[in-house]
Amino acid sequence: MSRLRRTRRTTLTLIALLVLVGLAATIASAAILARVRAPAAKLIMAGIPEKVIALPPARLAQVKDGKQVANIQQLQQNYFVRNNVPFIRGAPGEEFELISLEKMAYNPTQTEITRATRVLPKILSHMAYINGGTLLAIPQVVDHRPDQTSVKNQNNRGTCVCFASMAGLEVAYGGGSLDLSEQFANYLYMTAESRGCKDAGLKTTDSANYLANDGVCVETICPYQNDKYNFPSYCNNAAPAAPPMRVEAVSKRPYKIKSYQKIWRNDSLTTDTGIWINNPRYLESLLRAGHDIVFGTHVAGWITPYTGTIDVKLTGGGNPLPSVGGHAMLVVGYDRNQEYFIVKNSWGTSKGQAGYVYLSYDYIRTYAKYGYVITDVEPILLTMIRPMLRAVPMIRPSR
Amino acid sequence: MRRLLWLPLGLAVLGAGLLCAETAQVPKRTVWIVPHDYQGTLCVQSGDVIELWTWPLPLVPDNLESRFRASKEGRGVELVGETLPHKEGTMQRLYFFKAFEPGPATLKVELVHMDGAVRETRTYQVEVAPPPSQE
Repeated sequence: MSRLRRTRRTTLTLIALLVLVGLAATIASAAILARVRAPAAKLIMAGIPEKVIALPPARLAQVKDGKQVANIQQLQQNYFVRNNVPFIRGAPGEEFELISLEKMAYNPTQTEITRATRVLPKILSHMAYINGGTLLAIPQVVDHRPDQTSVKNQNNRGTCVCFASMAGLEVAYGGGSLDLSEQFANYLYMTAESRGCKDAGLKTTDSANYLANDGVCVETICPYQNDKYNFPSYCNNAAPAAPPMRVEAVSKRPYKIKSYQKIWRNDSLTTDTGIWINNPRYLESLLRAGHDIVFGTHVAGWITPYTGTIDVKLTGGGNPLPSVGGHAMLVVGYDRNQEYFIVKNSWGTSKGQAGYVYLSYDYIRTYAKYGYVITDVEPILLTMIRPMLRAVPMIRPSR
Repeated sequence: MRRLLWLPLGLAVLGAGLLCAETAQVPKRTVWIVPHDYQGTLCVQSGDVIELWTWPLPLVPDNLESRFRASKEGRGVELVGETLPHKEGTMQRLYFFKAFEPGPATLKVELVHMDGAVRETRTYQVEVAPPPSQE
């Protein structure tokens, strides 16, 4: 009897195993087939206007108690409606579109709103609480160009990711005259990828990982080399003995990312929603919150000297022009009226608008690949002290 | 009643088996990843795919007027597709050739200016062997 039971149990186990293997095979083969059959079509999406709620001025006076309120008098005086969209006038020439947080493509956190107030103090003064809901005044133009460091030139090297990431890190550390070393960044990235000192490009988002693991030094310690065929010896991983300059560059690199947030592309996006790189509304909200966006994009249809708005151009068949390659830059602002982003490039000040290019919202929807924002950086002093602390022998209490 | 319980399990196993059989019918192929500086002769078998990487031309204003172009000489190999690597900073492209018939072939990658002038050409020799007999 027990033998019969054992046989039955063995049979059941075997069947269960077979079923499991069968299910795994089903899933695997379904995945393979889906991959083979996946369409690779890309669409250009027309500009979809964000929905806004039009509120009569009287309702703006309904302020919820206990919360920080806007200057209602100012709101009422400067409130107007254009094309059924509520606006507020700021300083002469400034207009802010009013939009409810609930209707936004992306809800900024309280920290981001607080941070935005530091960058754009006017936002707080135009914020009102109506029947428990929040209205946020959206500036029609956000332009962080005055906060940026100088525009650089990568010359004839494929080091755009180094320049875009250093530009992002410089401004995260306060900008001004800070000049971080793109040469050292390239050394760092290529070492991390075990590629020697080659200019063979880099996936933009990988630079965030590398800068969070390791810091970079300033330009004066490790200056940029324009000639890609003449790398300095300290940037040669195979160098038998590290020359003094490399030692100095490696030891003095306190500039480091503490935290970052990556942004990916969603190819199936049909409306401007979600936290995706190809959603202009999301990028706007990040810029409003005071962030700049390091991003990678396809390049297609760029015509020198890149002074006008770069838009999507179509082939004879009506499809977007194919990409000629990938490029990394830093998004530093937007203009909602003209529907373009202000982007810091690394081709010198003679290209574009004094080194900046304007990419249309449709261009971002069609060609943006991925990116990231630096949400926090390591304090410089701490990154300098930490290695020293490690070198100090630990003193243990004697028993 | 107990016998009825075995029915869905049996169907699942049968379905999985059928799908496995379908997947098994997908022909196996070898993909040869060829760097731009490869100089030897590529010995492949018909049915194989050659993934040829062009040199990493920097994406800078001076190069934006140029494009890569791939072609082949010889009957046994066909250009079947191209793509871009997930990297920023270069205009590098990946060309896919498929070997069909035994014999010699030459793959050619050119960097062509907008005005039609060829800036640079690189060639790669291929020898396609017949597929191994299946016994």
